[in-house]
Amino acid sequence: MYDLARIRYVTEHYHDLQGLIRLPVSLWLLAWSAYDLGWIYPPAWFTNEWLLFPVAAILFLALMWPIEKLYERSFGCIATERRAKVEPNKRAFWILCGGLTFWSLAIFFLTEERPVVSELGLYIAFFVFLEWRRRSDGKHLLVLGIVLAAMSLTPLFDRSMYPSATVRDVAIKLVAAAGILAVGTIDHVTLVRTLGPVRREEQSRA
Amino acid sequence: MPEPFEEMAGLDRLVHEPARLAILTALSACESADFLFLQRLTGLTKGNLSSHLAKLEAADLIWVRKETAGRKPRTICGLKEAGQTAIDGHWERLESLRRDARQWRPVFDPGTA
Repeated sequence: MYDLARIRYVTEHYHDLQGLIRLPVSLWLLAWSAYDLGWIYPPAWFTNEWLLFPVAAILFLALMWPIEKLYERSFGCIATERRAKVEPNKRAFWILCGGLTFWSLAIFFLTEERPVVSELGLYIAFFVFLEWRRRSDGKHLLVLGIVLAAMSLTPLFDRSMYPSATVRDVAIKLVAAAGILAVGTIDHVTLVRTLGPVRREEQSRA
Repeated sequence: MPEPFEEMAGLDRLVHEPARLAILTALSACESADFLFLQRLTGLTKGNLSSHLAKLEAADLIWVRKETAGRKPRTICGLKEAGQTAIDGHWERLESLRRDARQWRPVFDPGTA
């Protein structure tokens, strides 16, 4: 007998459950952390260091395309209704970005100090919350968002929590990378457990 | 009023067959799905799945389209309005049967004792 509720769930969330598509995001965060720690560096001929971030982002995120094609070849394709728009949250996102940027610049120019709160961590947490809200399922996403937000904001209460801003941002990137990988793996396993192997005609006669 | 257990015999077998019910449930949750997805979802062999899809298409519950993705042929299926009505009606009927079955009590007839 078929678990119809699971069939319905997996079909409705098919694209969300292709968790390995997020693997390049994890790798990008790991590489970024390694770069911040000085463990890796660009080749000597790469002289425009300001280009490093966008080029690396494009290269890593481009890996998402072949992974998506692999899912299509292995599990098939479906067409779903357009994803629900999150317009109210997009406004909140831009307000958050603008507010954080203004606050960072104000602190930097008025006190010549960097803010203790990690804006990067808050941006990543916000994207995770947006994803959780769009999917309306996946408590694992909510947990990850809360952990990242907490790691970003706790220096407000304990300035000595991180030895430096670099360590703070590396720690947040590592937790984000591990969290995104864990979330992706959970989703992928949910998908694979429902979509069984392709049965051949010989197996049915056996 | 028919007993709920008698009503069960009157369920639409075309829709109620487990594999076809699974196919219709999946198609009701998306706009269309290709053959490979339905095959992985139902665990049926290619021949079995083709047979079920043919029956559903013949009953005008789904549409089936063959197209070419690159060089590879691909079969895509989707639910028609009649199919959506059929699956919705089927679930309503099952829910009603469930409620009736829970409330059902045997009636003692002294004449047959």
